[in-house]
Amino acid sequence: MDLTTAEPARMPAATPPPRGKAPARVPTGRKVAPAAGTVVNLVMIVLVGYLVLVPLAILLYSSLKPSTTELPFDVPGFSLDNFRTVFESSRIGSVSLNTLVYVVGSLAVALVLSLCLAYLFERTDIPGRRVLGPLALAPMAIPVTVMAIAWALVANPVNGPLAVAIHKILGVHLDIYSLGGMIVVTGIFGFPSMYLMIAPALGRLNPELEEAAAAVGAPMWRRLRLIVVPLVTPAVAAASIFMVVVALEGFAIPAVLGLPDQIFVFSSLIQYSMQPPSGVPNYGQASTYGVIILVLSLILLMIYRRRVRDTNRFRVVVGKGYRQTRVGLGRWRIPIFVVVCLYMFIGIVLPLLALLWTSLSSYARPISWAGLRSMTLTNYSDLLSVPDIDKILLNTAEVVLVTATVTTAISVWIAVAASRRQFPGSTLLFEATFLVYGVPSVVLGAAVLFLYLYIPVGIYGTVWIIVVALVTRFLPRGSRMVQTALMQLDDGLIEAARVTGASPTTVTRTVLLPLLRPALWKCWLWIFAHALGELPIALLLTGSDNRTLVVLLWDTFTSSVDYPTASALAVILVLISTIAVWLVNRRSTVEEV
Amino acid sequence: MTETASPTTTATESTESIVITELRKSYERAAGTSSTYAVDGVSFDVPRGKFVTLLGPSGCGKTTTLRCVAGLERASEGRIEMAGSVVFDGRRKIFVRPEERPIAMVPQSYGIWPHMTVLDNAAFPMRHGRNRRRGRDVRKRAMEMLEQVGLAPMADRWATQLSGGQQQRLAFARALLGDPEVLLLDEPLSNLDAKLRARLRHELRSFQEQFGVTALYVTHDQSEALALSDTVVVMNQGHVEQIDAPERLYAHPRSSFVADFIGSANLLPVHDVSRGRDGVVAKTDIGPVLCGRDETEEHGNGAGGFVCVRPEHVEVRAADREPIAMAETEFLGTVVSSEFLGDRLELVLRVADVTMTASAPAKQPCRPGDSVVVRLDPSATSYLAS
Repeated sequence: MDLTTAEPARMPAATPPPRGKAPARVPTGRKVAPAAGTVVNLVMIVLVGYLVLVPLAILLYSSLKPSTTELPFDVPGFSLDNFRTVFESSRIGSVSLNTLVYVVGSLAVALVLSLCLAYLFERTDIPGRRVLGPLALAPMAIPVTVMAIAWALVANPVNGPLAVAIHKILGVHLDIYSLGGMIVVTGIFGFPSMYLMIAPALGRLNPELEEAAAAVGAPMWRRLRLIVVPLVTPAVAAASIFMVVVALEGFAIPAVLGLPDQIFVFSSLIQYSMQPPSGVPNYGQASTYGVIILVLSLILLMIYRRRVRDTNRFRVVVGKGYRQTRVGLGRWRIPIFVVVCLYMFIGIVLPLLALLWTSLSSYARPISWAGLRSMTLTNYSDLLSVPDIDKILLNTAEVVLVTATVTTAISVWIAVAASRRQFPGSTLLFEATFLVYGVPSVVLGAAVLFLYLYIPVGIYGTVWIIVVALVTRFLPRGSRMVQTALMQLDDGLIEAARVTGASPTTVTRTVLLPLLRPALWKCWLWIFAHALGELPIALLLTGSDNRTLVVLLWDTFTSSVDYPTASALAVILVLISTIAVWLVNRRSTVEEV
Repeated sequence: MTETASPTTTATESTESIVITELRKSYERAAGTSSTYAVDGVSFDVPRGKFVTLLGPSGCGKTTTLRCVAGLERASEGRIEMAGSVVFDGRRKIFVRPEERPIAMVPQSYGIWPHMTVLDNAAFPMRHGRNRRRGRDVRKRAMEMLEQVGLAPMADRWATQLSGGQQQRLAFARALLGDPEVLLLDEPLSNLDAKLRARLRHELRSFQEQFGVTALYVTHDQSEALALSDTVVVMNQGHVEQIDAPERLYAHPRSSFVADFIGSANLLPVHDVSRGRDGVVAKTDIGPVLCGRDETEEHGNGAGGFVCVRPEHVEVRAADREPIAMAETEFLGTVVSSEFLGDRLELVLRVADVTMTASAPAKQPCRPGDSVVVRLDPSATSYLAS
């Protein structure tokens, strides 16, 4: 989430000095907007309101319907029976405890990893920073579902190469299908986003502050504790809350690694209640758990917002025009380097290697030299004989392309209208999308499912229901990406066009959009990559006609237990996703040059 | 507010391109606190074909005034007329949007669109602006204009390949191709280095004269303002301090702010004044000073105000050993420091506990500690009310 408040590019000279919260842009004389724009904006408000609020209302509604097996709307009256049942059951205790341990554990893992690596890469003279830094972020390009499957392959107790190796060397049995396994994998998955939030704070930390402490003779540990830690605390706190929200809504990892041993957290339990192996869904229970996790998540999000605002208090951290000096690691330089490399290998390279290996094997087997000779591509060719594969590919393409395009288009409107304060309600519209960050993906999927079971518009069971849910999910991210780009744009470029007398539409078409084009591409590709790997929404909304690749992956791995084919599919998903993410990064570096 | 599609024409066709009357612009603060005015009751005219500059320190409201004229910001009160049409009237709730005003603008950062070629940038107003035209004529006219500003060989290059000075010329050419009634320039020279700035300043003025366009220019640089303008509007804290031609502004500042902001000045606080036949006699810390120029409006006797004298009008001669016969306009002082600046000496003097500066001929032998006689020429000494 890049929710950092960027300073407006330029303020008119006569503006009083910004005090506290100065308006991002001085309101221009365009409060009165052309009628057509106002109408479009109203339509957008209604649309976003419909996409975000209506499903949540339906979720709440159905949690108040005491049904177990019937559809919620078939049940007359309201009651708190669902909540009573949920809170009286023995399950709530174990699920809450699991969720708590899972969330706190993942946070601890991600926090330790990101703090250590951010400090090492940003502030010390560890060798190979230029290679290791980007490599540490590589998991961002891997869909979380694929990541979970890769870890199941690499560390499963039967033939996972990592588990086997550890058993041989340390004599310890490693079981990835456990709460501990889920925690470690989620920690590694969440680490890149946390790293990206913490590293700038550490990198921009004015070394003079640290040097001042060094000059009076404070040893390194004391300097860390007394100077560095307090200054990066706001960024770390914001990143931590963000991680908690991510872990709380995380579905693929708990589902892949927890379900075999029936270890449930809230998110996996919701999906399990709606699509149990028995085939009889418990809608009441699912919606009740949905409401619980939704409330938790929204509370955390509000705390997060507060935190991010507080971060601005520590302006001293933003230094400029200083020479970056790095802390010497001394004789620990090489040992620490080896440990970091080991982490990179085990945490990032090995799972992908196992995935690739399995995809080239005819059965799940440990990695060995001997196995090299019997490698095969049949798994990939087998994919082509999957029933309905053409239909699945078409569905996937439709979902991903439409979602990326529609979301980008709506995001442009929301961000442009908000930053220009052009129409009544445009700021509200922008803020409203923020709410979606607090809606766990599983909950959104369930809510959208309820909604279209309830209103018969005929998109249930089609790819469009998935598109609707995914657009909702990616709107806040999309609009914030466009907004960031807008803020970096010089106002003079737009004003120069306006004063020539060109109409607002012409200015937008000929100047604004072309200038935003790199950012729009970036936004589109980001959504493309994430829509491809988004499992819970696709899974909950899937039927026989709208299966997508990620659902096929899930089915192949969990139901058919066909690891080699699943691996081949996963490798393909990683490839597409990596190319998209690579393009995103390449575009942004091209711009900077 | 009602939106008028096009400027409402009034009956009187005037020779003024812009008439600004009692313009005010407030910024809302937190609820409850009184609003502050960035622009507070500003009135001035821009005659057709003239070059008028808004000059003042940063935060004085000059850019806000310009943006209100452009319509990029909406003033709170007052009235703006352009070419005889009202484009803003606070009381009658008239606001004409910037795209409907007969203006062109060169923003501080030039606003050269990086995704277009030089020619596309220049031709934008003719292709998409308020005076749209069609066909080959557009390209031809744009090329002619680029020729005149010396950018014709680069017409098909990307605009980002231009240097700072070329970008400025392109911005100027683009603005002129919109056939504006008024050209608005917001500190267009502030992003350039000193040498280039001096050259482009000259260029800007000759283009403006060549095309005969009316220009409203904003700057905080007094030498730019003096060199370029027909008329300078000096602003301070949202108010207009003085409107005058550059020469008069320097010779006859009407307030201590203007005297100090334009060039340098010795300002002596006045305790008491009395008016005589030769001028105003002002009592200051160095004694009574005869001021040949009276810049106050009401000629009553009263306290307050300043005596203003430019350093070049402070005459200094060495004090002789024997008791000195001093005229009424002369004072005894000591040299605190003297700086040799090649063509002249910059002296800091101490006259009865008041520090003054003087420019003396380079030949004059003045050392720190010397006693000197300081003469303030009454014909070059002004009395300012504030």
